[in-house]
Amino acid sequence: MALSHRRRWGLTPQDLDFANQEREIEIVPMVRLPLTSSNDGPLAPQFGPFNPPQKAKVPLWFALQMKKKGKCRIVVPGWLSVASLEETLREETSSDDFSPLPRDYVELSNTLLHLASDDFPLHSSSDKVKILLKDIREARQAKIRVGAGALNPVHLAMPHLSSMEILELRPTFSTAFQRLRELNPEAERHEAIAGMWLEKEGEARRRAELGEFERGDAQEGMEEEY
Amino acid sequence: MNKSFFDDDDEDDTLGSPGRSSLQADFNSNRAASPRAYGAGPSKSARTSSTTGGRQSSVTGAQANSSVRAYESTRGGSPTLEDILGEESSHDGERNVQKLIRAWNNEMGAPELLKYPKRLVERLVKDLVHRKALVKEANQMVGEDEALYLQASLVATECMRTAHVLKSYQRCRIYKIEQYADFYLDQEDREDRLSPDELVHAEGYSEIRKRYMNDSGRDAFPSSLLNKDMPVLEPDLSQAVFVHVLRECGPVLLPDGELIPLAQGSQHMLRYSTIRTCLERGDVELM
Repeated sequence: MALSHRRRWGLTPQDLDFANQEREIEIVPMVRLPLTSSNDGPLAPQFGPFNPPQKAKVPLWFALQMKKKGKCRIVVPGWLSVASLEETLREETSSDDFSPLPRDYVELSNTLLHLASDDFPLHSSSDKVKILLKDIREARQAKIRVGAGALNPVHLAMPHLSSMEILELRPTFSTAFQRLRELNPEAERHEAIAGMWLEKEGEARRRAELGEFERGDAQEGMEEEY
Repeated sequence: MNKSFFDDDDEDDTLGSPGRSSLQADFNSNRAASPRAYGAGPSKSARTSSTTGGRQSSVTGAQANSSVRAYESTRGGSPTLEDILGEESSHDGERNVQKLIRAWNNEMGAPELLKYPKRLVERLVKDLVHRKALVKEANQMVGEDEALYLQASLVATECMRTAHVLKSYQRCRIYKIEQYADFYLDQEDREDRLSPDELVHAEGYSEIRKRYMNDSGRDAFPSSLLNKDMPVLEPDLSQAVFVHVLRECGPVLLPDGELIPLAQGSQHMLRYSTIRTCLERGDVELM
């Protein structure tokens, strides 16, 4: 009851956007502003004195506030240019792995395209960037769908996936994980090992290194008989 | 016009109306002249320091043209015990809000209630109350100064963000407490896991639920069933979680017997039980 029904599945895209607004981004301030300390006091990283036209690094929410008031210009990060995105698209379509885009590329690009579209340089305009990003997203989604086949009730590595993509696949994958766990033929063995890992970690690790948990040849031999 | 707000020495309120006669926490070095311009700089600082029991005020700093800060307290001047011990000041480049956001994300992802970060929350609430008071003060002063106005609005935004994370974090925890209240109350580390308020809430909730069960019909059960203890529901630690590895963690044992290393920056979907200890250490974060 304390949590809305949508939130019971986990974070929402709005939450991701919110958390992402803490990340640093470069701006070109258009007004002078003296040193402002953050809420944590003078020992935390502060919002340094702004002397235009020097660039400054500030959190994204700070930059967006200033931008709304017309007091700064946001410097679009390098990977969000047409040239760089074309390269990424080439990589995506040519290999099976995910290309190393920044983890927050979806949130950041959406925010910048929405609120700072006039800060994109002419040669790398926001329209072209939008189209390229859409293509990249589709290529990655296709790969994710393929990756769903690798699900098992134990582990799945997801290299280079962005946080928004993981959020999108979370309900499906975690439900599938749950079902696979319930239908798991080796459930008892898995539960035993997991229980030991929780309780006696050192011993479990030692035994695992000795290879005691691997299914022995004797057992496999028995199965072949059937 | 007196531009003295963002004044942090609460104890200076003994001087009377806040913001006017108390110290000027002026931010930029241009303004350093202004306290003097009011003709009371040195004497005022002497006065403030005497009433604050010898603590340094920022007037000294501003007049000395050192790097002045908008946020003034003893922390800027004389070292407090906290500074000496270095406890509160270990920021390692990360703001408290970011730490709380991480705690919130972890809480949303994990199936069981995680430890309550007491110091972090207390610190944040304290800073929040403080800053809100300052911003209120600042808003009352309708000045022509754009820069200060902008600063005030930025600080207000930061306060709102902190408040939002705090509220969402608490909501998530309350939901999880209500799911398995009896279980958490039975644990030995319940003082660590639950804040005092949460403990009270959990006990009250558990009590109400038991009474409801009894009134709903448990009194009509046959006596053989009544004598048995009700089994306590436990949170399911084998649920899937999505982890992002912050620091290299030793190999973790998967339930199928395999040991996998957790490389820094990698992302995995695992059972919660697998990475529980890594999460406690802070080597991984949940998404």
